[in-house]
This record gives sequence, structure tokens and C-alpha cells, in this order.
Amino acid sequence: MKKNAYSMTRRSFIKTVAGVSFTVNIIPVTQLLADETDVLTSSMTGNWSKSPGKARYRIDGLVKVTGQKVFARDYHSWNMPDWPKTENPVMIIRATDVENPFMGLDLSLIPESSQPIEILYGDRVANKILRPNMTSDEDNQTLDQDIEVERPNSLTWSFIVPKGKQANFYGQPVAFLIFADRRAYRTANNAIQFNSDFQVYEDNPRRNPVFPFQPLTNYVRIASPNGEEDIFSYVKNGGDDSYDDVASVYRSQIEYEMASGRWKTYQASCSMQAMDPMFMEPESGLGWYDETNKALNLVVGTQSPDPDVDDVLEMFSGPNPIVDVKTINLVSCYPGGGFGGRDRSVFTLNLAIAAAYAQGNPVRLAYDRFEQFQAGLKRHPCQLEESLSVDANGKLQALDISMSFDGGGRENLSPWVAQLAGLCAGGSYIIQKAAISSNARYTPNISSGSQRGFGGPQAFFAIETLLDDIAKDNDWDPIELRKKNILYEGDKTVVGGPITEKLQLSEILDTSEKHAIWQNRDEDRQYWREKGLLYGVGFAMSMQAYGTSGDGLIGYVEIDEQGQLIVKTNAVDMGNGSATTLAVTTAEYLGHNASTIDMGNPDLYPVLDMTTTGNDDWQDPAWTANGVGSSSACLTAFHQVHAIDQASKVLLDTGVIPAARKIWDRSDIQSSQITWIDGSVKAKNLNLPSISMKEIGEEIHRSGGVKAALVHAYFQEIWVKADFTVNSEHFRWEIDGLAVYNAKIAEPEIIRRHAKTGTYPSKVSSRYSRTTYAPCGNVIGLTVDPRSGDTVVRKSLSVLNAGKIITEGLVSGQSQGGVAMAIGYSLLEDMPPGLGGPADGDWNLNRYFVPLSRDVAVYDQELITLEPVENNKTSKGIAEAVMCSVAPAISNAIFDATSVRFRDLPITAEKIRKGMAINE
Amino acid sequence: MSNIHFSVNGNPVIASGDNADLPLVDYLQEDLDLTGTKFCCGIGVCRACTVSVRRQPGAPLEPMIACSTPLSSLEGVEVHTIEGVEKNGKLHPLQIAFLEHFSFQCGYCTSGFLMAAITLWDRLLDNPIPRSDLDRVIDDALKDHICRCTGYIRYYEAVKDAILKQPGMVS
Repeated sequence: MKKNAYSMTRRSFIKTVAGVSFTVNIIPVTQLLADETDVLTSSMTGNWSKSPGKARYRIDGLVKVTGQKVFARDYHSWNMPDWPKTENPVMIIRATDVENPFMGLDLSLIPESSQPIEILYGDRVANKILRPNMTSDEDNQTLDQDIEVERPNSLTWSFIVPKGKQANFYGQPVAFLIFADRRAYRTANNAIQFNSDFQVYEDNPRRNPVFPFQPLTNYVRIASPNGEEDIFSYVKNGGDDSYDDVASVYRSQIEYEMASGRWKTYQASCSMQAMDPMFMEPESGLGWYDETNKALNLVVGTQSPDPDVDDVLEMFSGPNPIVDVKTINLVSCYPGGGFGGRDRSVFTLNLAIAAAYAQGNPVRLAYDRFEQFQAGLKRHPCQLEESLSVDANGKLQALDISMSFDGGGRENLSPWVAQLAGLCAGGSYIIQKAAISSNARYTPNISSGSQRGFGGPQAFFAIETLLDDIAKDNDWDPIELRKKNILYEGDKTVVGGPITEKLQLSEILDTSEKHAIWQNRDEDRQYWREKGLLYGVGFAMSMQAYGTSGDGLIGYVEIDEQGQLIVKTNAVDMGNGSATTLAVTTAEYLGHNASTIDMGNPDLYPVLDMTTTGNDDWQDPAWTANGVGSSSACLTAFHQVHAIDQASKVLLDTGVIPAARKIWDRSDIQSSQITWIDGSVKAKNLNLPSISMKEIGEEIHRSGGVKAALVHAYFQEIWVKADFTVNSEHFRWEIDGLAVYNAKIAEPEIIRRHAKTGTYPSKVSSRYSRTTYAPCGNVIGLTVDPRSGDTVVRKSLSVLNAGKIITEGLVSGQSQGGVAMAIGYSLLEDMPPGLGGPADGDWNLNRYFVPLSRDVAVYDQELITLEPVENNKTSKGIAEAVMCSVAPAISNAIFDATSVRFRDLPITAEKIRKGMAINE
Repeated sequence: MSNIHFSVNGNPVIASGDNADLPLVDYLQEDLDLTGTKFCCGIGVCRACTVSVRRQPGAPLEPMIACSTPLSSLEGVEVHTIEGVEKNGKLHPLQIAFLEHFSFQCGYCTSGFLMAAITLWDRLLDNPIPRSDLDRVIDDALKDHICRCTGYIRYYEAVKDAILKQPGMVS
């Protein structure tokens, strides 16, 4: 018998935005799929689970390898229970002119029978939903704002350009067209796609202003010469009102000293292009406004369900909403790739607007690849100037760098990308004096976002290529030069923040140096020379930070009556394997992998009723510094795992052990006496029978014990540790928020932490920028054809400090994917800004070249993961780390092969030909 | 225009002649509700939409790009999609290999890789090759497919592993 998705899985919570309360229901796509196939979620995963803590294959593997519906694009209205069975396709028309006023569309180009049934111009929707942020130009003059209604806060400009107004950026919508059916949509699309006459602009050009997004990053550090407290740094002085003024003085001092001739100073100018994440599933989704129930139904695959829901709710909370929304039902699908491109993308808002205007019909918004290139978030282009000084002993002394990131039109996470780039600018090295300036600017280009690396690929490229220049100029070995300068535990970053862990940089350098690619480079050079090709080997290293400067995480673990474990999280699995990783995380404390995992649940955090209002108010047991954020692949292994780990610990302490005591009739059994053997609970050194998980589950549910724990954890240099009392027992866990679920009571019980005890982050640590790093070194061997300039990566080595490896197949897959993406970034993938680029709407994979297997040394690529340091049981988020040092290693290898330095990415065959010609 | 007759996973289908220019991927997804075949670039470059077809009874399977194939060209053709690979609840050895090698992450390119590999599998069943040619034929089958997550190595390893485990395909 078919189950109804909403009756089976409805998990309601109330969310209040701008004084308006909404009911939000979240339905994981796997539950929807279960409804369709009459198969329960747990049996759809197959025999994925191996021994406790291990996965035979991905928990989401079976549904994906059999082609079942897990992506938003797989769904149509007729697949949705209780929806009308017809759907209206939606087409978004996007600005191709940012200098002249948009006057409308020439709809006569579309045959009469295929005309849209609804046309949304900006002036029609403006007073319903949107108001641009107050924003200033370069002279601090407030820009003209003419729309006065609340709008989601991640948007800076009009959602749809009003007629008569100039578009603010390429890709900004100028109209939404809603069609009766797919036939009309296709006919219209054939008529207008690539037709430059369709959009009409008045010839009245005016340039858009250009200005930086706030905040600007300004890190200046003067270390103490004797290793004592910094003389000046962002960590030490960043809280001072005079920080920028004093920093400016020290910056001048550093620049003066670098120019004084005291040290050798080397300069580099780098230019990095925009890059499309090119996730395989173009953004897609379904929406339906159900007027009877005042419910907005959405089917999406997003990296950021929490912020997306907030944005949608805000859109409908104004005094004059498009439609009256009381409830949101959101089906959260597996995204077909993400890489940051689905993090606070405005796709979900687009869908909600279209659904609200569709006269009660379901709508389908499914970008094709041309639209995805035209509209989707990009990696920030970056212009960068760097100077690096080194003394006669090969010790780095000073760094001066200025970075400017092109944020495009819509502020996404641009200033934060620029900020992390500021930290990464120092590379993996001790640098006594650093002056770092980094900003992201609004421009009329396609919006940039938090794409994989988050500023790291740009910043590491600069310092790692400069180091090779320094080595070459001084006839030093490039790896030896790095060895002299690497950071160790207790050292400080360019921000002035501490290195709080063993980075194992020296092991990375040693391993790379001993590897055959490095050792045999002269023989290999000779081998390729005989084939008429230039061969070069390059090394580069990075220590990309993972997480943000303060991360809030949510984890829920439940034991059912059969003793099966259920994990729920707000995290989304973009393919990075977080579902699998979190499902095996329960094994540490509960002896079993989870049977079911629900991803992408924004409904969990509100249960805890915590607050983030105010600053550093840890004395308030309901306060936390950060609720929940978006999902990124690098947040899994350390951050999200911790939340599930701690939820498992809470369930062990408050549910499993009390149940075991009852079964054994031994109230004296302590947590430390419990162990898991072959999936059963045992009491160490006691002659008590082992208890199966099924018996534990039955006991908890029979006697009304704690069946589930929902925790909130917060990391900022350290995990918050706090004390809690549950059922009169006292516990300390590494969490700051908790709710427990009694098997006999419907509502969870919120347990507040003790107010006067616990360990909390220091105030100054909020200025550390980051304290968690995933160091990685890359050795690349490549050939350059001196005639054509064609570059082929022949050999690749990655040496990675990933901490404890949870699932090797996921880690090495991430690494291999990172290497491939970075090869694309370095050599292949290019898109010009403005017209002539994807802004035209005519870009696709026939002109944007992503790496194929032949480009990535598929048979000669190696990953070495370092053994974790002793007693280190934590894992690292490595998804971004694995690509940060590839691009500079490639540039260094090309330099080794051709003696020409290329810092303008991508390093195309044409650039190499020209560079080599100039050099001759 | 007259109707178009072909089969999908062994089931006969009759498509209206009005849909002659409809791409196969759209027909599979929207008319047959077979969404395992994926739309990605829509211009025949990425191969995510690859299905396996037999153009004549008894002919060998060959890969076909469903986003760029109009229904009008399918008269009499056998089309095989990912939904037809699992037989009687039993996974194909290639599916098992994809799982055990962690070949995919997001999984959106998986059906394209799988159907290309299935086509190769079918060929090798009838025409075994020397072991020394195996890497080359796998490369020939997969080299034009795009995977953005995993970097290809694990697909190559999985296909090779599955073929080597299957008796009679490699001499």
C-alpha cells in the first residue's frame, strides 16, 4: 500500500520571520522515493554497511547506481503525491546589457500559440517582494534605492530588473515567463534562445558604479623578533577602534623595509579567471502554491536549505506578499554536485516567485546548461599583486599582498572569500612581517560565490609560485627552501592566530621529496626530450583551512524499537559522502552504523530554541554564537561528524546505559564499564550477559527511556564543553545545546547547559580567522609541446594530512576529483567577463573545457595520506585542501619545463606559445 | 507524421509522430518517467545522457547520446537505460563494481558511465580481447564522459575490475 509522503514524514516546525509565523515541513527525497516504490528508506540503501564505523559502499550508492529519483530534476508534478498533475514550465530571461535601460521583450518573436501565459516584469513584482540593500559607492554616497519593501537579505539588487531601469549585472533576471506546457515552452525557447533581438534596451548608456563589498580584509602583522607576543596583529589589535589607522602605519613600515634592500624581494602579479563549478545537474526544481491550504510546496536540491528557507519565508512576510503563505513543504533532494555553486544560490527564491505567480498551478524551473552558465555562481576572478622578501639564509621575512576579487553583481559570500584568502596569503610559512589587503568588489559580472577553495586557490597560487622563483634565482632547492620556513604547532599565522595542531608539513615535504616523480625528474626530462617534448616537475604546498571562524552544528541520533539507529542532520550531501560518513559515525559510541540517514533538515535547530542575539553571552544557557550554516564538503569529517558523535554519546549515556542497567538489574554500572563487542553491549570485566541492540531498543521503548538526542555543538578554536543534567544524572559533553526525546512522550525535552560551568572560546579567538587546517602537497610532472604549447599532466602526486581516515574510498575520490578540477582551473577552464562570456547565454561545454580522463593522468596519479599523529582521532575536511596546491605545482612544473613563468590562469597553449616566443 | 516504434528496456513504445524532433532524453524522462538517463549539457558533449542501443536485431549494442537524438531516428531501435540494468533484483557486476570502488560521488554522471560500460561489456562477451588491450578499450569507452566529482580513476578501476572478474571477456 502506498504511503502518503506528507503523512508519513511530516516534521513540522514553526518559524517566525519578521513577526510572521510559518509552518515548515521538510521531506527528504529518500522518503518521497520510498512512497513511490513502497520500499522503506533503510532497504533502499542495500547492504552498504560493513563493520561498525566502516562502509562497504556509499549509503546513497544503490539508489544512484540504479537510476532512481534522487535529484530535483528527476521530479515532475505528476510524481508528487497530492499535487495537480500538470505543470507550467518557467523560463527566466536574463540581462545581456548592463549599460542601457531595459525596456521589455519583443514577444512577437514567439509564435502566438506558444506565448507565455504569465509574464513577470520587475515593475510588477517589485513592490511585492524586494528591496535592495542600502549600499554605497566608492565615495561612500548612498546609492539610489527606489523600492521599499523587505526582501531577503542576501540580495543586493532588484530581483527582477524593472522596465526602464538599467540591469545591475549580467545574468540578473529581466523577466520570468510561465508557459502552459512543455510544447509551448520548447517552441518559445527555440524562437528566442540566442536571439539578441528578444530583449529590448533603450540606447542611453550609463556605467554601473563599482564598489567593494563590506567588510574589507586588512591583516597587518609585525611579529616580535624574540618570539614573544606580536608587536601588532589583527588578533592582538583587531578589536581596537584605531586598528586600521595603526595598521596603515605598520603597512608603510613593512613596505619601506621591503624596498630598503635589506633582503631580496620578489614580486608577482597574478590573474585568475572566473570558473564555473560545472556541477553535472543544472539547477532544477518544482514549486506549487496550494491556495486551499495556503501552502508553498518546493522540490529543490540545495547546499543551504536553512538559509534558503529563511529567504523564502522573508519574501512572504512583508505587508503586501504575492500570495498568503502559511506553510512551506520543502522536499530536499540530493544535489547533482555542488562545489559551493548551490550555496545560497538564488535558485530557490526564483522557484518560489514563479510558484507564487502561477495561478495555483505547479511550476517547473529547470535550467539548461546555457542558462546555468549564464546565471550560476562562479569562482571569483582575482587580480593579485604580491611581494615576498627573503634573507640570505632562505628565511622568509616579509610579505606584502593586495588581492581584489570580482564578486559580480549579487553579494553571495564574496567578502568572506576575500577574507579567507587573506589568511591563505601567508601559505604554510612563518612570516614575521605581513601586510595583507584583500577585498571583493561588486561588478556587473555574473555573481561569484563560495566555490571550492574559498579564496585559497588564488592566494596559495601566488606564494607558492613566488617561492619557486626565489629558489631558482638563488639556486636553492625549492623543497629545502620550504623546509626552512614551515609552520609548526605553537607558531602563528599572518593573522597572529596560533597553530594549535601538528600540521605535519615536514612529513609532506619529506614524502614529496623522496617520491619518484621528484627524484627521477632529470631522467624523465631526458625521456620526454627524446620524444620532442619539454618535461618539468613542480611542487607546491597548501594548508587550506576548513570550516569557518565559528561553526554551529546539529546532530540527531535515535534508536528505534528494533534497535536500529536513525541519524538526522541539517547537512546536505552534494556527493561528497557526508551521508555515508555520518551514518558510520554512530559506531564509536553505539557500536553500530546507522540504518537510516535523513539529510538536509532545517527543522532540527529550531527544536532547541536557542538564540544568537548579542555577543559572547555564554552565561545564557540558551545562547550560542552560531546556529547552523550552509553545507560544504569540508565541513563533514571534523565538524558534522563531531555533532553526530556527541549525539551518539548523549544517547549512550542517557538512553542505552540506563536501559542496560535495567536489563542487568545493576544500577551501579558506569559509562566507562560499557563496551561493544560484535554489536552487543558488554560490561567490562563483569560476568553479565551481553545485550543486543534490539533488546536495548525494546527496553527503551517499553520503559519510556531516552530514545533520541538532538545536540548543537559549536567550534571556535575549541569545541564548547558544557555540563548538563538529564534524569538527575550529571554529564559533560562537547556540545552547547541539547534536547532529549523520551520514547513515551511526543515532545522533546530541552535540556539547558549549566550556566556557571563549561569551557567556552576566548573572545580573541573570534579573530583567529581559522584554526583547523588540512595541509596538502602536490608534485606534478608534465610535458609541454614547444611547437603547439600543449601541456599534458603526466604524473601527479598528492600528499595529504587528512587526519583520521573514516572511509578511504571517499577521501581518495575527493582528492582525485580535486586534482582534476584544479587541472581544469590551471590549464583548461576559462570564461571571459562581460559580453563574449557566458553572460551572452550561449556558453556550453563546447567552449568551456572541463578536464576529461586524458587530462588527469588517470593511470599515473597517486595519493599518499599521512598517518595521523599519535592519539589524534579527529578527521579533517579535505574537499578544498586537495585542489589548492595543484595550480601552483602546475605553474612551477611549466616553469621547470620552459623557463617561463606563467601566472595568468588558465595557462593555455596559446599563452605558452607566446610566452616561449618572447623568452627566446 | 507517422508514429515511431521502438523499445525501451524490452518494452515496445509508440511515440507520436508529433514528437519526432523531441530529444530521446526528454521522452524518457517526461513521457516514460524514466529519469535515470540524465540531462546535463544538452549538446552531446558530456555524455551524461548516454544510453545503450541496438539498431537492428542481433546487432551489437552501441552508445547513444540521448540529448541529441530525436525520436525520429529511433524507428525499430532497442533502447536500454539504467533502469533496465538490474535484472530480477540483482545488480549487474558493473553496478556492484561502481559501488565497491566508490566510483561516483554526486552520481549524476553515473548512468552515462554505466551505459557506456554496459555497451563495452556486451561487446566483450561476444568478442573477448587480449588482456593487454583492456586499458585501451576501457579508455575508448569512457574517455569522452565527464565526471566532475571523482576524477575518473575510480570509474576506470571499477570497469577493469568487473571485466577481469567476469570469465571469458579477456584472454
